Amino acid sequence: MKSPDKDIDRALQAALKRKFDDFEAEATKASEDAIFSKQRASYWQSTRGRILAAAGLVIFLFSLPFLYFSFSDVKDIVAVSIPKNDSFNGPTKLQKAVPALDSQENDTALIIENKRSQLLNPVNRTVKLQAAAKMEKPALSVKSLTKAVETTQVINSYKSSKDRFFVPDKHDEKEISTPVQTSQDNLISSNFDREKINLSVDKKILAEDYDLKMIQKKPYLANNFKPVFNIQFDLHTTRNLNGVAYDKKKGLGFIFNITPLNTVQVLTVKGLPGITYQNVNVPSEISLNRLGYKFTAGLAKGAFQFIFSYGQLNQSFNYEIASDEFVLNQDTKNYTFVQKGVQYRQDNKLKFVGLGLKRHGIIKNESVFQNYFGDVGVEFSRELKTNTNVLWGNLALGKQVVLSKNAQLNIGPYLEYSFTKMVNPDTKFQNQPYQIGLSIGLRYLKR
Amino acid sequence: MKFFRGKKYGTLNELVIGCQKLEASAQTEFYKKYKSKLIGVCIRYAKTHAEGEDIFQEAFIKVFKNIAEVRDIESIDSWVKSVVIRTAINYYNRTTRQQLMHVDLDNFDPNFQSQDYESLIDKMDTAAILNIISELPDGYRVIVNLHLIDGYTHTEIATMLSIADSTARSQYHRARNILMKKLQEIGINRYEIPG
Repeated sequence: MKSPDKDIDRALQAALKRKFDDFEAEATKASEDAIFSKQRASYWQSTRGRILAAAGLVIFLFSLPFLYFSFSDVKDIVAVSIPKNDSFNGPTKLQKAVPALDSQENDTALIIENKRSQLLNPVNRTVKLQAAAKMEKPALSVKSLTKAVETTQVINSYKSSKDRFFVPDKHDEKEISTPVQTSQDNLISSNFDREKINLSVDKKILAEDYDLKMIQKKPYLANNFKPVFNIQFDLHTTRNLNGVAYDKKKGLGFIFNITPLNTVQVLTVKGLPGITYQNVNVPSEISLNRLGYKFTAGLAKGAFQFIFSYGQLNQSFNYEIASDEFVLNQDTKNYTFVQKGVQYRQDNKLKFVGLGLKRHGIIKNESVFQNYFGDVGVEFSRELKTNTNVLWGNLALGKQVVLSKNAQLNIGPYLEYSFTKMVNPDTKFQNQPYQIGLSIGLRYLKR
Repeated sequence: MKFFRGKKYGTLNELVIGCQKLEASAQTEFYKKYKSKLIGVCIRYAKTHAEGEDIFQEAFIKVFKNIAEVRDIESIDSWVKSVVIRTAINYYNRTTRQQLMHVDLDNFDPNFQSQDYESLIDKMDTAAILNIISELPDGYRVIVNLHLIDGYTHTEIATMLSIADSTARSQYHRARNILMKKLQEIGINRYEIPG
């Protein structure tokens, strides 16, 4: 060779640069249309993603005050309970029920007067009605009872003046509400003057002048009774609290979950013009390298959970692009031509952030499945690398272990399924992942 | 008469910032500014004009998608060009078939002087040279473009193509020899350059 390599390189470089430095060509209108239509589509997609994210944030922010107030309301709810076993079959039963209320001293105690003239006062009949409300056995109606008994008045009066609620009464088939003072500290404090009670019934009077009629098990419900405040008759806490107790409603809770996940994919291969894909393989073995994970944290209120999530999904697959070359294979007696391909492999780590809503349920009854839970939910998440939005449905089943009064550990299998297909930016393969894993979660309930 | 005039972008900075804000008028203007130059680059790297158009579309979509990441707006020209070149490389990585890279160099005359090639290229029509380059196998064509026209070093090419440095050098030498042979054939036949 006369000239060394570098001289030739330099000469070629200089000449070609001169030729192509200002080289321009004309792009077709089709290209312009394709670029801008794609641009508009991606703009709309990103705008839609932002709108959804903003909507999620707004919903979350608006739900916070609701959660706060609903939580703070729990303290103000007072439950008035009547013993379940105290059936109210007439004056004798009433006499048994009354002493349960008279054990505490209080200035604001009620005086039960033995005057017939006060029978018509709905306030004076409050407790009797409450007692009647929970009777499971047939009992005397309030109307007949109050007339038959000389006088029986019990008004629950409580120390505190800051909390007030109305105890509605039933009087001549009409709803009447009577203000009664309550206290958070002392649920019942009544001074009961037993001497003034005359609970004897003149059977003759009853037989002649008054009708005895059966009342239903739940007269309040039967008469469309709608209390202004939620007054609940807690049958279980009655014995301990002398018949009146706070109802402990479920408060705001916090949940934290970690879930190792194995990803399974449904891969849809769509060929591009002039390209033939072959031997597409998705690894099926479970290995530590392919294991994804997901962290979840959120708020729980009652059975619903509002969650934020961050997770990583490992996606890998092999494929070949068919070449022009063929290989002759001998298969027993037959010869087959197999198209040779160039192998490619993709290992992608997809990272997601998302918002979700879940419904939590737990089996409470005494069976073999007691304390087993089920979660079902939907989640909207965004892949951070390709900015793809994915809608997931998820299901978790497992065992709930009570760690303390407020803390519970939830552990069990977890399944997550993508309703949307993700498009690989390089190969244009469509990928629909679903993930199976083990969910380990801590649930802290503030009571 | 136009009642509503499009927003004017006086400087390149304003134009790029407009594109970063996803303003449609800025994108249209940006496209008009770069389309001719970039389709030229795409055609150089492509085997056919149609493939060049495909690469061009894909590259421009990437440009609009990633332009928000550009901080040094002054270097936007080289950034756009690098996006196009990388798109072309990816295109052939993705779509190229296993090709017969061996080319018969029996008639290759090593006596050709470097200045002979230079003068020959100067005399030749751009379309003719483009035709010679496009006839090269995909891998060789990419390397010739990268090294001889776009000025990337062998190390940079090795990194871009994810191959060893030595592989990049050897492939370049083979590609250059094929190019020289094709130039010789045309030079001897059309321009009577003595072999």
